[in-house]
Amino acid sequence: MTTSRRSRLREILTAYAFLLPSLVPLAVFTLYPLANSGYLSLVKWNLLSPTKQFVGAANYAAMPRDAVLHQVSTNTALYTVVVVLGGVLLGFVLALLLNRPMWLRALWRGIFFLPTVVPMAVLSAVWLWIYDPGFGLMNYALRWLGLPTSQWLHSATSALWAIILMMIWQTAGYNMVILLAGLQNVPEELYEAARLDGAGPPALLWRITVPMLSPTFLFLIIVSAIQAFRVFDPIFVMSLGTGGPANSTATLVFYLYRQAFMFFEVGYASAIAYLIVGIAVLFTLLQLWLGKRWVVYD
Amino acid sequence: MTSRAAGRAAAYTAVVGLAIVFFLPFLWMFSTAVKPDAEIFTYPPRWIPSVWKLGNFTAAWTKAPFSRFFLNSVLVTAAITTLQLVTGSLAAYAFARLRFPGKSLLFLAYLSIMMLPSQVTLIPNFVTLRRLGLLNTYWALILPFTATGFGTFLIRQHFLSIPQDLFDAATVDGAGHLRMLWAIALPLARPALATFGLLTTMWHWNDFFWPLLVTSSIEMRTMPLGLVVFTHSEQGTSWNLLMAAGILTALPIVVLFLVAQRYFVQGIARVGIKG
Amino acid sequence: MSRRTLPAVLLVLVAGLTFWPTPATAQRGPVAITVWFPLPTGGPLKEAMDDLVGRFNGARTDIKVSLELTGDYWQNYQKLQTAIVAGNPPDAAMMELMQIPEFAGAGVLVPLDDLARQADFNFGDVAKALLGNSYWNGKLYAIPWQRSTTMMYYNIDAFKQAGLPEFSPPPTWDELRRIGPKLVVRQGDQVMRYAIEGNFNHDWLFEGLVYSFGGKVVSDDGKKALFNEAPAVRALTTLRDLAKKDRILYVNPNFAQIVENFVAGRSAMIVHSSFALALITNNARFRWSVAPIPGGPAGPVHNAGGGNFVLFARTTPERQRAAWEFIKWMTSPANTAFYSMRSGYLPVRTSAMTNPVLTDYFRKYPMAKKSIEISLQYGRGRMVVQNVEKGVRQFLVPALEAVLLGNADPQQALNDAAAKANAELGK
Repeated sequence: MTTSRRSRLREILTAYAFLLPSLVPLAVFTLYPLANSGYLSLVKWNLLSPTKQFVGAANYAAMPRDAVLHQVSTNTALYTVVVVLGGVLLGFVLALLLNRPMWLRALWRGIFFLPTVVPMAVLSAVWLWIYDPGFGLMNYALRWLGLPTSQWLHSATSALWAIILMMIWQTAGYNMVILLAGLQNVPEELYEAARLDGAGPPALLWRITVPMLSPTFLFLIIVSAIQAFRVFDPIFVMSLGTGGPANSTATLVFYLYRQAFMFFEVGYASAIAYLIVGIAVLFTLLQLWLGKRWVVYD
Repeated sequence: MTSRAAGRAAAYTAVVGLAIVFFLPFLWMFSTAVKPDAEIFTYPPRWIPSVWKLGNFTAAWTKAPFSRFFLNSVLVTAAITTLQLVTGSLAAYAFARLRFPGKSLLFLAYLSIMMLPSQVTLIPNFVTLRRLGLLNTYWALILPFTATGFGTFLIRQHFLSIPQDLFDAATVDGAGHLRMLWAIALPLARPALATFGLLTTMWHWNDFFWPLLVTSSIEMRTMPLGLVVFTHSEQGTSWNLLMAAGILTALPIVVLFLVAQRYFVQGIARVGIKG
Repeated sequence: MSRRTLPAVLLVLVAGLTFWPTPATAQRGPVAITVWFPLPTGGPLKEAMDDLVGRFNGARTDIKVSLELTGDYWQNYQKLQTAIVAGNPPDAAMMELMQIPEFAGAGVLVPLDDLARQADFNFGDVAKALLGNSYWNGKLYAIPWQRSTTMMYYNIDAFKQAGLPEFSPPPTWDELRRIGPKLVVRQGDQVMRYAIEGNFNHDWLFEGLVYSFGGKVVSDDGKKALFNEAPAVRALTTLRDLAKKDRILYVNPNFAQIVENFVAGRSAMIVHSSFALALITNNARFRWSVAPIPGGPAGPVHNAGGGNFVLFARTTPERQRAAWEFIKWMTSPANTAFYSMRSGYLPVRTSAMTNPVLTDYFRKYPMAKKSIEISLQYGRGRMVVQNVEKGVRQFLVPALEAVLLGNADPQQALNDAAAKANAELGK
């Protein structure tokens, strides 16, 4: 009896000892900040003074009156919708094309996946040059195709679209890989049976592939959406830290950064951080709810 | 049958065409990187410069202290990856193989941490590090990333699939948990460790936002941040040097990717399927 | 004691008493002060500063200065804020001039009027444009140090190619509109060269234009936005028309790229900082020169930017004195001449222009002389606002961009921005 009690105790102690190296950092750098941000969203603080001024819900109340926050939210929403839909669609097309043995398949897959691997800072620098209105590749290609050119990042009406286009390119490979894995899990027999019934490729696609892939699609869309609306790096680098002409490319996280580290409005910035968490939670709940209702399991 | 073959040919053409379009930005980057100054602003643009100025790479490397940036990136990324593998494996073992009070609650905590948008931790972590006087040090770049919810989860999955008999046999031999972790669990989980290690190396090598916040002196910058500062430099930067610097910044992680492409792709796919 | 040893002993005693450090003098020694200096990298500026500080420390046994580099202007600002809160600011610092009102208003800077009067500081010798941003609420808080102004550079060869007289940079915007189309080079519908390029979407350039049209960006007390009044609107409309109707002016938000474009021949003229002179001198492969920026009805205006020296109040009177001595010495005509030559910034003292260090330099680089003369002649200080970033810039710049890089109407955009700015400035 005593030996088994002792060994149980040992097991418990071992468990906590094993957990400690990760628990402590997670507590300090993730759990505590989560709570602390909530507290900070209720104060007015300039990050440097030793005193904070408690203002209750004033930061949250200020949000509806903040015209720039509206603009930023619209930018973020537009960006998220287009990048997610465009990226998932393009990824799906690529996955369908690559879902068969072919010569040099790994090479093509690698090329499509490369933008995921290369640092975003590098990609942003490259696209800054591609989008140069005078001598960049983009306008040159457009001219070569006889299409109208654009000022891209230098115009308040096109700057966000420039970044959106680049991010569709950047995310397509990642989406492709996930959808490819999903495609390879679709049993071949389903296709065989359908073909025997005389179904052509479009029917195979809509009747089998898409429904079988619906959990993957759902997962991908939600994950991509959460990634997209938290975007910062390309926004910062391609607008040279300004948020674009007339704030046209400023997104939520960029606005958070600006409020906290340029205007030193830490309280307001923390409220925005909680807004972001709230949206992420909503997305996740949406995923769970939609998962129960729309996804087809066989 | 010919329509099948035609369909396949069409698909293959589509793949190659799309791949070329996808790869154009990288071709353009390389073409610009080796151009002499006079050929950057030509119209129509030249794809192949008259001379290949490979000296641009050395010029870019020395214009900003890239060797220092590179060292910082290597140090920080290696430290984070190692720490995460260690802390993640330990925690994964506890969750997979040990019974203890509070286990489900703690696991739930680790899971929810995985899904937490990091933006909510930015300001408090910045303040914490400042209070500890650690801003603008390697600690600031490493400490917040010592542990990982995602890594713990991934490795735990692998540990769960190891047959119990292996552990029972080891217990009979008198092995303690640490020994079993080291001798049995880890070797069998090598694919997961490799995959996770690669993913986290990539994420942290490419990290730009956090180093932007916590470093203020040029010596502490990591490569992506160094590149961006290069972009903003008041001294002005020619596009060719900037593209060359970009290639140098991306090279280590791209090489790693080419060598271990399988693991990268598998890792991402596994994340996808888990959902 | 014998009669011979007594004088020796007395001599030793007297010598000892004279030269033996008493406890009071033992603690004295040189007064050590720290001066913070925003410099992001090494290079010619660092060498010049090290040179000067070394000379000062060598010449004076009673003061020892240690110079601490603190990053760029922004990092310097953050470090100073943190240090002030922690209670240990440096004794002096060089600070971006538009940040000064905030610190002065917070009461952490030493007013320099008395010190300057006692030292008979010759304010008449300081370029008027540079003194503007050294005052707050009527008191002097800063001495100019590292200053530049906006400047126009033009490509002489481009003028020649366009069939224009070689040395004829346009003195007014109307003249620019007249000759601009000749300077634009197209290849099909691709513009290979613009007539003029600049960072016009930023208040740094725009403020000079507003002055040049007879207006101001904000009121003198920094409490009211004036950039939606007629002169500013006219300035903005002029820019917009030149960019969109006449298509000769290129608004480039990428500050660093503008000099590169000029050197590569993409623009016949650029409006940039006087500080770019060295870069252009070293890289341009064509004949070029400097000229006053085209002027509006009130004539050309080049607004002055850069940094000034300030003293921090939270220190002993002894160290304040020492820091003042340092600043006074640094800003003497000979030393500002030296720094100007090595750094490319303006000499703060007009008398420095005749200092042999500079006159020798001008013989080798006549363009530098011309640039400085233009800066000093047309220079004007910047707006004085307690919090320029939150109160003015965050509204004005997007408004400028909405007009120049978007489709907004100038009066409307500026009205909108002014309303928001006034709300913030009034707080």
